Amino acid sequence: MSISIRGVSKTFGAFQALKDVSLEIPDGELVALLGPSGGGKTTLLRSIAGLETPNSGQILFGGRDETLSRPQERGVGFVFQHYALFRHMTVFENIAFGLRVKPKHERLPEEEIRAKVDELLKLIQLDWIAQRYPDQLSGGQRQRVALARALAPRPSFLLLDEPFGALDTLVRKELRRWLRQLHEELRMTSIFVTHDQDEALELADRIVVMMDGRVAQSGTPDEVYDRPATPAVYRFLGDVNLFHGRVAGGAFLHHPTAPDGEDAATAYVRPHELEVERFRTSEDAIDTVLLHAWALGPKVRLELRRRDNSDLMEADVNRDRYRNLGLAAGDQVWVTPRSLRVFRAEDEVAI
Amino acid sequence: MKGRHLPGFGLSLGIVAFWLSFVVLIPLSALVLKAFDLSPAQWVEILGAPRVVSAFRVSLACSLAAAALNAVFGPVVAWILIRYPFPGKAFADALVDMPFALPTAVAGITLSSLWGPRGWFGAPLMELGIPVAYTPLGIVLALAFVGLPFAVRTVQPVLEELPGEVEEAASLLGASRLQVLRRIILPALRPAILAGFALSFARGLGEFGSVVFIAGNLPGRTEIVPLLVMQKLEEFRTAEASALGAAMLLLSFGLLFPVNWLQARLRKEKG
Amino acid sequence: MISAPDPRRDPPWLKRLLLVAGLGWLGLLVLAPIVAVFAGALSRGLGPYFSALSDPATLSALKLTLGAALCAVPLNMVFGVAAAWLLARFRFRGRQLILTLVDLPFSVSPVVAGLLLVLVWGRQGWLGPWLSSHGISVVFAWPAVVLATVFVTFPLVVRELLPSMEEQGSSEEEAALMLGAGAWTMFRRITLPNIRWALLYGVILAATRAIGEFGAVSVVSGHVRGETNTLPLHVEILHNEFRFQAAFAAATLLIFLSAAAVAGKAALERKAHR
Repeated sequence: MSISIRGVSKTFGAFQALKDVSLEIPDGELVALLGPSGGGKTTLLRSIAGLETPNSGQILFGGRDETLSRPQERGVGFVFQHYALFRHMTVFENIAFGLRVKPKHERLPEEEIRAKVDELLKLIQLDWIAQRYPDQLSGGQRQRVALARALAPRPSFLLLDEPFGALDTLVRKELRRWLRQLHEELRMTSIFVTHDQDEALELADRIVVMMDGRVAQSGTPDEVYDRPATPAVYRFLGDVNLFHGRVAGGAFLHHPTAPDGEDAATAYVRPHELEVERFRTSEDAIDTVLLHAWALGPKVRLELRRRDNSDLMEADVNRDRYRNLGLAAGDQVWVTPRSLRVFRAEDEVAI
Repeated sequence: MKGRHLPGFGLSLGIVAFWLSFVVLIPLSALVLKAFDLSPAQWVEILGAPRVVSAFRVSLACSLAAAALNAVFGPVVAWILIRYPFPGKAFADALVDMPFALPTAVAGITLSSLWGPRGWFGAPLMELGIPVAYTPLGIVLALAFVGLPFAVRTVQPVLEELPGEVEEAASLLGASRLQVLRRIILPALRPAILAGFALSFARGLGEFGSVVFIAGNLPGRTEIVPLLVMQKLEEFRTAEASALGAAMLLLSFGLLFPVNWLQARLRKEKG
Repeated sequence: MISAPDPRRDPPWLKRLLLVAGLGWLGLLVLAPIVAVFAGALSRGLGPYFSALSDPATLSALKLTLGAALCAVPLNMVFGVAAAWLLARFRFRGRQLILTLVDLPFSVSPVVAGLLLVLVWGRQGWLGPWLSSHGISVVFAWPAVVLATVFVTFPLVVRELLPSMEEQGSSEEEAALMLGAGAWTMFRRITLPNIRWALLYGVILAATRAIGEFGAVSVVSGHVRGETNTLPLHVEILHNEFRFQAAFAAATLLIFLSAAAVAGKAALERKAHR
């Protein structure tokens, strides 16, 4: 089922958590709500679930207005940040809860409930701990139980609030892959909140970047990563180098300090988009000194200082290239941007 | 408004409003109205009577003294219960709660027999020329008894959650154990000790049952305010009793306010 | 093997001093009075002790005390759960006022509490004339004992439930709602099981206070023996009549009840720690 959010605003006292947010989420997509904390992503998720009531705007599920309906009636599966497992119930009873509380005429017979829970337990590969209590489980296991519990009543969507936030790196990686597989199988419209760009880029069909209560950008992972809509999105989605300059005749002219005037602009370049040379090979090359280099998995990160304005820069090269360059701290290095994204204030300028 | 999606707001508000009015608000407004019936001159006459003035003096002085004793011994008891292993610790911990659980009348009769002129503790003290029962000292003792749980139980959780690293860091920086106690632990406990002091003081001001037996109730010397209220009521002088009751209420509100503030601060410090 | 001294260890002399001071104070102030009650009760041997306990006036006082507690505690339990739900789960205007009013009976002297009841229900009180014209007596009769007990136990259950509910947060309840549970199901299957120990704890405290209350009950009961005489009042009467052994014997009953409450509280705390 698709979800439409139309002009939703929400305030808490003096704090405006959502400012006129509109968003379309097509059926069957796995969507990441990505952004810094306080950006409004959790509030938006809770509004979709019915756990918050917007001050204005509409929330539609498949064209049906659900803005004011109660959470019980929305048919939404929700996985809480800290899982909110019922601590006095076993894993089995936790998962069965949503099936057992259905009104009598809709409720499945006991054997079918048991069969369904068993099936879900197999799905999350935890059938061997069905009789344990939540405090006897590891973080990753709790997470999977929470997911199974949310899926049991066959919701129309799945909402996940920071689903991997409280887990360590290895478990997180495994669960991500598992969630992705699960989504491929079920094809259920799912939205998850995260502040981790890697998580969003890896998992989502579509990323919605939320900042300061607004949707800053919405698009596929490639679009969001390669063509960020604003400098803020650029900065949020990974390391970035920044150059001051002017826009003249459709070209960006480097300038050591931030210039004044209408044509002043800032250009952004990711570390892997910089060409690193021992000698000057182009007009645009920037003169720097290597401060420090360290291995970062398959690549090497160089920390450089510009000679003209002493700004720090970061560049990535692959290991072979680094070996060939034969660099040592203090060496002169020429750096050329392969591609630039230029913004005048907050508006992008196409170059 | 937070949490409107949760059910039961109207129902619980209804129950609370009804029960609060029935039990607290209506009786309280009866007192306020009764107190307003009196003219200012009558107020002055009632509260200015020498017997009333000295009853207030006795109540305030004895409660303060008892709270001060508890402010010293309460933290000591909390400290040994948290930090030192010793046989019978669970029993000692349970003993701390007994003054709260024990009916005040029982406390009253046993304290008065224990510290009375022929009691286990009273008799030897009497020989030394220190009478306890039927003197302000006896009142202080009874009030220290009822206030003890407050003084211990406010300090105990704070002490329990005091991070050990802070003490370790201080001693690594060269502080002696006594310096650590005085400069690190005591300041951390200070708000809790103060809250315990205030709670014990407030409890002492209103206490009745445990005091009347040991106090002897000599007007002007060992007569406390709650007893005076009781007597006025027995003589059907309701207006005077109400004036005294209103004054006591104002006094306890004057105390409740700083106590609540302190406890809010304590909670904030705990995170 | 060399081991570094524990930096958190106190010097032995200080440890001894604090242990002596703390335990001495506890022994002198709390333990000795309790021992003295039993010594007084058994001063003439076991026979007189048991005959004092089986005295009809003592038994009827015990019955009234337990009866008043059985009326007051469930009432305050219902109120306590409602108030804790309201105060922990919702933010609204007037919340602070309700918090203050809930705490108020804590800071009111029991004697003043009795006075408040007399002012409303007494012969010269607001409802007095109407009540007496209908032949209902509240003050100096058992309803006043129940009312006084309700007043003094009023905040106890709320005070235990509120922090526990706040600490638990509402996400389990929200999860239950999201899974389709109705309000009553959510309350019965999620809220109640989660607060059951705090609730039991609050009920124990309230029951203890209800059984032991003296000042407030003393004002409103009128000391009608066999009718409005609760056990603590009965102890006072016996004491005033110089029947000390009987007074202490009745007092041991109250000590047993308090000790049971304290033991129950300790057991619950151990449970909560685990």
